[in-house]
Amino acid sequence: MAPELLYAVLTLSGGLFSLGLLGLLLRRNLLLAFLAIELLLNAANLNFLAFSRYHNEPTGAVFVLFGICLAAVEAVIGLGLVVRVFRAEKDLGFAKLSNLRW
Amino acid sequence: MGTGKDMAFLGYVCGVLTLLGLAVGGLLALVGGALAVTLRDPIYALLGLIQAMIGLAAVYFTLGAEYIGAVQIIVYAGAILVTFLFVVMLINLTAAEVSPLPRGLPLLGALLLSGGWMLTLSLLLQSILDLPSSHQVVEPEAGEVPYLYGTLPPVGKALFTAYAFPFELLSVTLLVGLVGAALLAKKPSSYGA
Amino acid sequence: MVSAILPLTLALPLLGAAAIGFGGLALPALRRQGTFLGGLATALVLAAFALFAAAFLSYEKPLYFAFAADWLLVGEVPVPFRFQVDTLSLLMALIITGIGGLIHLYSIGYMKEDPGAWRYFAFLNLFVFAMLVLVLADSLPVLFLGWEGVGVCSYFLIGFWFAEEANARAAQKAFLMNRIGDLGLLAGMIWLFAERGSFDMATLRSGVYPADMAAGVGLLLFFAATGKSAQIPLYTWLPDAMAGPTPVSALIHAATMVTAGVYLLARMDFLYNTAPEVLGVVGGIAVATALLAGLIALAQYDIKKVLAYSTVSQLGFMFAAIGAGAYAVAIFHVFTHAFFKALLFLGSGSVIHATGTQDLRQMGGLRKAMPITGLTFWIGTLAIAGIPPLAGFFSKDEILAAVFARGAAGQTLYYLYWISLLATAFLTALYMGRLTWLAFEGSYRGSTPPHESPAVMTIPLLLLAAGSVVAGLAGLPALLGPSWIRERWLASSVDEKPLPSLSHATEGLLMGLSVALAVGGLALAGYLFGRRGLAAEADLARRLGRLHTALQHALQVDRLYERVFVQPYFVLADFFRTLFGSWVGRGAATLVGQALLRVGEGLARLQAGYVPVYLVYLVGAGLLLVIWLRYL
Repeated sequence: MAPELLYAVLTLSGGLFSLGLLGLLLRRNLLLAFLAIELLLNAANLNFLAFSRYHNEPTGAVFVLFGICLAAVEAVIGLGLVVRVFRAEKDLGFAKLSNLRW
Repeated sequence: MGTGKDMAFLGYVCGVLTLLGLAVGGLLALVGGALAVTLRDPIYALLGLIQAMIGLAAVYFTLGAEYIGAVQIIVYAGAILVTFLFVVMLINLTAAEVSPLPRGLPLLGALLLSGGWMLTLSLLLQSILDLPSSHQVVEPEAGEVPYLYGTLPPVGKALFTAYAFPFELLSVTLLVGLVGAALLAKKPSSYGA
Repeated sequence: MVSAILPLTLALPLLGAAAIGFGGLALPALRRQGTFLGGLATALVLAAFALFAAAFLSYEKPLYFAFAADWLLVGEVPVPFRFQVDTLSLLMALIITGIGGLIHLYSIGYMKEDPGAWRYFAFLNLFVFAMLVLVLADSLPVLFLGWEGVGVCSYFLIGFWFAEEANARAAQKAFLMNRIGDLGLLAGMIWLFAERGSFDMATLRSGVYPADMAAGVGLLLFFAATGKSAQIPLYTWLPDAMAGPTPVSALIHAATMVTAGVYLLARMDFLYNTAPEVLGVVGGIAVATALLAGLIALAQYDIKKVLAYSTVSQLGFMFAAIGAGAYAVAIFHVFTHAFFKALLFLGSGSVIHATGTQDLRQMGGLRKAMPITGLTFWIGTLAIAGIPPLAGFFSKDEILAAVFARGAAGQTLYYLYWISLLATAFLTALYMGRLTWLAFEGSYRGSTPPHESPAVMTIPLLLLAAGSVVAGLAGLPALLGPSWIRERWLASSVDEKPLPSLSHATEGLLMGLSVALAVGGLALAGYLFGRRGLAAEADLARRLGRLHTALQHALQVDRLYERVFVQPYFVLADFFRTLFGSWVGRGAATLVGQALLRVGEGLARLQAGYVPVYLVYLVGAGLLLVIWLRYL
């Protein structure tokens, strides 16, 4: 694979990552913030795959597989938390979740 | 087998197709991601994300990782996001029910992000300019079967040889996640306090 | 062979202290086994004595032993835990473990009823350990360790019955006054190190020092000795230290710890040989202390106070010997004094045990009820008074002879010292006679009927009495033969400043004079107190008038120190408390506190509690990381 192609893919990955960060920072809704996290994970996966291809080595692909599995676990735990929070607060805003304050 | 001229032409076509696949898939993914982080209605945002996942899968296919692309569609677009969809429907949330964030925070976040973006872009640009001297490109030797890294046999082989132990640990992690999710989703009253 | 087991001599008492102390702390049931714990402590000390005795019998040359690890590293100079068993330290160790063992044995009986006996024996064993470290130390810092260790044990044991405030105060006083002296030892040690670059005894000893420096260090070390060994100006803690249990007074405040100062000066003899003028200072302070303490002892009614001042006075005798440059004679007096003073203290303990009082006016005629105590006490009195051939006679006579010889060598000041010491010797016989007649003769004036103490207490008395009779033979005067202790034993480790030898006639005359004074003092005491008892005391008080009152209150030295040192110190402390506590302190503290509070409030605002805010921090930090890794 030509390096130029690698950089194109990396730029795509960076764009997705930034979109994810933007969503994470700007969303007021816990659930939608989780969507943004999925985007972040995918950007990382894309990076893995790009380098895997670049070096013609399956390790990166294996890690993408691991990443997808971990994303599944993360999503299921996170969604469980979302459900719990919603049951307790009847609201999914971050603003309500300020118990971390001193 | 054709002549050398035929091979060159074939390579050119392949290159164009790759670029095309990358462009289409990447565009799909970026637009989908943008929709996912901007749309107010959770259902639409989720659909945007699904579009992004499919776009990414297309990129994976273009890069030659057919197996990973398939997994991406089945597990991500199919399973994970559908779980999200279930939850969205379960708690029946509309945008109005969310209390606002403190003022100034979005601005700060946007500033940081744009700064970060510019930094990253400058780094990428610099790297591209530095290319010939700094990178040794690994191309497959003539006669070898090219680009098999992302298909099922090499991934499966790596998974069950070099990464057998992490793979098993992953199954434990999945189990823990399963139990944890079940515990979290139970009615609070059912375990005291 | 012996050197291999010598570390045990230190390990055994330490082990005993740790086992009894921590055992008692951990197992309250063990505390009730006071007799068992006392037996254990005694056995350990006597075992150490046996090891030292073996070393003594097979002694050929100094033995050294060290622990594997060094204690300190001063610059490039290591300070090892190294110990030296030479003739001087071996003699001291024998005194410490031998007399100490007997006093341990005695304590089993004395502390039988006390619920705190476990604490007592733990500290007593710890004291033996610390004292052994002091005398065996081969370097000054290790000696200092022992020096402080005995001070701490002394503090704990004086304040043993700390429930009474007076006892706790006495312990504090002893500790603080010792600390004042310790400063001298520390400063002297540092000065020596600065000059010689070593703490090692042999290295220090082989050095050649400028006379000024030797004099300075000598004075500093003597100052340290005045603290530990209760000389002017730091002697006032010792009479108060009688607040502790009587066997403690016998062991720590008569036989061993207070002689540490004498030991230190004898160990550092090379300094004093270089700076003879310091010896004059030592001698002057010593004879003044001896005379003053002898006078005060004459007017005390507390049996232990008499003995305490007597100890101060006898320590003055020892320092007078140092002052004459006769270090071995001083150690010889340490040796004999350990026997008869321990005997006297233990005898007084036996009396206190029997009558429940320390007041001489409540005693009288005790010899009939307590024949063994009475007999042994009489032996101790004769020994300290200097009646031949008991132990005190030989050592005191040697001291007088040495001081006289120094005078005869041309230093006429020493004649004055000699006369003063003669007067003190007379006083010694007088106050000891007074004490003994008032307590043991005549008729009983107390209320509780006295009884003889149990065998566990009388056996040490008998052994010490035997020692008081024969110990003097270790140092025969030149007239009668070679002094074993000076010429055979200590000569290898102590360099005495050469004295002109007196003719046999002069020596005989001196001896006769001191015997005459001793007999005269005892006879006067017998005439006054033996005949008329307490009535003579009242008569004496009336005749001497205000002098007697002043002596009874120890010349108000305590009050003087209170006025001159303690009160100004309090005033100063008050001043600084006002200055720093109220103005500077409060102002600065308020300023700093307020500033910190403001900063804290500002920083607390960073912790908003909202997850997105933390995300912003995370992203910002990641950005900084990228910048750092890429550009810095």
